[in-house]
Amino acid sequence: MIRDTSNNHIDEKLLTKVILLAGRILLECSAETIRIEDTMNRIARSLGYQHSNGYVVNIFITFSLSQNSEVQIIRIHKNNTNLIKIANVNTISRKLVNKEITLEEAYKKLKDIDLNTKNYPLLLKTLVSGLISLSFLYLFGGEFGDIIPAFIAGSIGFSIVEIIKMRIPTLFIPELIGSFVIGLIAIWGHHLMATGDISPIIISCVMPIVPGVLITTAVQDLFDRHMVMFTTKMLEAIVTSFGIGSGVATSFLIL
Amino acid sequence: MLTIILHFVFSFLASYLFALVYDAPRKLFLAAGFGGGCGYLVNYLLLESTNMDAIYTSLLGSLTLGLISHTMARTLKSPVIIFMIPGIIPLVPGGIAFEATRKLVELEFNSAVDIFIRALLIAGAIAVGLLMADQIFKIINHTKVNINRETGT
Repeated sequence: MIRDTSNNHIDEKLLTKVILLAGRILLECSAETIRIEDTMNRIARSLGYQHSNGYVVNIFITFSLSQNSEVQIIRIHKNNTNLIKIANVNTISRKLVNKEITLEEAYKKLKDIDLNTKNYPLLLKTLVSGLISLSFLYLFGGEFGDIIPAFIAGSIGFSIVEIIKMRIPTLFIPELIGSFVIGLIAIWGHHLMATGDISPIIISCVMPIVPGVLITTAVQDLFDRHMVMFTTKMLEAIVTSFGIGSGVATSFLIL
Repeated sequence: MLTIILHFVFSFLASYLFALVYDAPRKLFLAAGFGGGCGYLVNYLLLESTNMDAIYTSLLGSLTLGLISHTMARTLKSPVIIFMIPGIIPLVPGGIAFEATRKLVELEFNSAVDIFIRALLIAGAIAVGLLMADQIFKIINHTKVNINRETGT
């Protein structure tokens, strides 16, 4: 039997707590799977546990520190993208591995990240998504008359999707309703203010709600051989983009 | 020349603002925007100046994006995903996918399937570009680790 004899002074329970907390924050912010497993194993290895095992799927983490300790399972309920948390957890695990901070400090800081990290306010994000629509309007070759409807449709569509996502955690519905509203505003505004092709304005308004994070991380998981994570994430991305497409198509059929 | 600068500025702006929408750390906005702008610029220049198809140009664009974001992740000591996610957005074949959806609504299934396969191939090309950048940096890292081990022992 393999025993980690050199680490009797380390609080195993606290170490497991720290590792699971770091993994949970990363998984909730939809980081790539290899980053989560790597972070957990690296923290364990830096404190002398060479035989730790971690396994991450899209809704839970299982982890055991050594062959003598218990296996812990954590289930994840929400999936918010938040890149600040990923960066901060990365910094803390880097410091912990380099022995710049102790285990207790790391636990306190991770708790702080988990509870007290603020997203940017929804109003700011709404305005910003309007600006995103405008910059894509230029890239796709829209007209000057499209500017005002693109700004309005982009910002309103994004805020509708975010608000519905806060209320109900369903997958398909927020994007369907949001892109339906986007289609209505964009088509109506385009007929009111501009002439010519309608596709640039609709594409650029839909852009803020495209599932970019899911696609990117899914591809990275695929190439790291995390097939289960790839399948679930890609399915989520496909369902989301199908929602967007069908919302726009519905508004086309109505108008 | 002005169009090139404007295309860079607007794709930079799109990536910069997307970094805000996905809650990236504030000091990394500029870097994320720069990566997105460069990736899109490579794609745009090749598309305009050469005879290449959009599939190959987006492959090269996303390769550029991947190399830049790995370099920035090494220098700024942050996860590479922070630069990749906002940067990939200007390259996404939204226009072509939308065209396919519109053809579906108009019940022209043959051209819808054609355009949809095009969109799928472009998305795959972007993925392969990112993969190549990943592997290049993994090979570099691997040799570095080996050298360290040899000097250490």
